[in-house]
Amino acid sequence: MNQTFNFHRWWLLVTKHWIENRKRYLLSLLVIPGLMLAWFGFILSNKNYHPLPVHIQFVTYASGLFILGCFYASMMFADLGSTSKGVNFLSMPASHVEKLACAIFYAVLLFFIIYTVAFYIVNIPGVKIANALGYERFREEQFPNAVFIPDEVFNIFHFKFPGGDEEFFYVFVAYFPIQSAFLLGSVYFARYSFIKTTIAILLLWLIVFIFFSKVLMPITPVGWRWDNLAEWARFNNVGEINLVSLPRWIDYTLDSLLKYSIPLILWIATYFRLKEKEI
Amino acid sequence: MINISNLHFSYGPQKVFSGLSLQLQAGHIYGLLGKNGTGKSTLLRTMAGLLFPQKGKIDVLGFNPGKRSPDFLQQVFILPEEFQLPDISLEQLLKYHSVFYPGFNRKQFEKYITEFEIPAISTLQQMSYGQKKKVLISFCLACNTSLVLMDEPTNGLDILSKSQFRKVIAGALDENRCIVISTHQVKDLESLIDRITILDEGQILFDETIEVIARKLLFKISFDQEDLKDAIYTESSLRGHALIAVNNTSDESKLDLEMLYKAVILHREKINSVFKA
Repeated sequence: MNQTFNFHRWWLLVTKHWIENRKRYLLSLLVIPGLMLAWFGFILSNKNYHPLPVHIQFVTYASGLFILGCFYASMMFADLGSTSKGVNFLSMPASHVEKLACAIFYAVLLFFIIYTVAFYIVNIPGVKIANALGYERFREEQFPNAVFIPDEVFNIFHFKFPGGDEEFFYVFVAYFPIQSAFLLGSVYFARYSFIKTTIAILLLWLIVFIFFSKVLMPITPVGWRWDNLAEWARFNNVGEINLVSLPRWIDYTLDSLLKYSIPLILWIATYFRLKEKEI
Repeated sequence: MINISNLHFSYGPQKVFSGLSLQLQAGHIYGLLGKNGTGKSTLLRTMAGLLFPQKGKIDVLGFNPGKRSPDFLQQVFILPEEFQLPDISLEQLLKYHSVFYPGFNRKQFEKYITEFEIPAISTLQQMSYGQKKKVLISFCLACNTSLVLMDEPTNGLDILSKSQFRKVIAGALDENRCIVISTHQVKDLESLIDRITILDEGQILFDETIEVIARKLLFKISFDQEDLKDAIYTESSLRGHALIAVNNTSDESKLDLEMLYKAVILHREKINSVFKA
């Protein structure tokens, strides 16, 4: 049998994980809609015609996804923080790749699907109720010649910020690397993984910020600014734009690497950390 | 089966092993004895691949344990001193955990459960600590792994359960299997182990089979002052003086592990001279 990855063995791990954690997961499944119900209840109590517009739905979805998703990911390898559970986890006859793939399956894939389904279970009726309430309030005001336009249900795969052109796609671009960082943090930090990983991410962010503002910016010629990943621009004396750009393929490559490779890099780091973990 | 050579390990500045070498063979039950903090659990975890040697080599069943390959893990079961069972039923434990061990035998598991008199309780979390431990011991043995590593397995077991444990372990040994039991409760292993390894400060102080010990040492109770003069180790008791002496007569005596352990710790040179002779 393959010692790195065997689908059958991985599936056994997935079913074992489910049996051992299903009570906790099923309870959490009730908590997600419960929290949303409470939040939507508060929103719907606002006396306006559009209590649940698309951008509020978006903020609700994205906040829950980030907070709960990262919290859940930070608990994936919590067993390694306890000797009694850690021995059981590491001595379970499965490879490190299979153990990591099982964690990714639950924390990344299944959590995303279940969270999204739970969100829509509350959101779709929530929007219908909001529209009905909004329409009632609208009718009471009796605006002459005015037409009530109901709010749409927010579509996570096709969403643009009102008046903007940034696709909701960028939420995923940010979410998956951050969640993967919390997954890595759950192997690195035996205790208080969520808090420590949050601090580590903030510190990293600060270092990047300082590097850009104190190191990169001072060495960039005066008047020039970083426009794109591989593009610099400035306004010249007559108000024209001067552009210095690297070949397009470099821009595309850097852009794609930044968007898609970070989760993969973090998963590989998690694998090596898991491999070298001692208890 | 297990070859450890020149093992070095430390927790930060605290050295645990510096050059430990040991060979263990299949078909034996090894008793790993030693004071608290002498490295018994560390040695077991190193054999199981949960800790990595900082220097030296360790070979278990032809594998490097530190790689923790599934083929290796299928042949090793470590029963840690501290353990935690998931909140599932006994039936689920069998269904979802045993599938990882190709040698698992359900009938054998049921036999051990009967011997340990485990009641039919719905979930593992509802069981007492001792019952959980007996379930884990039964599961561990029923997995039929080539190597069984047990860290303080009798901790938390009542007197009756300890004797059941000895019976179950004795019945679980076969020529292809090696069982290593680490404990500081030496009495619990009497009449069970066939080789004793005593660790102290990361070194092997004593490593002999029961057969050799019985041939070379005599354990007896005596009132005779002459016997006391020649004894390697003595202890006063209400019944007289319990002593360990050199066995010059080839008489068979009942091994007292606790006394032997104390004798090795307190009179290491005397004991070693007997076995070197």
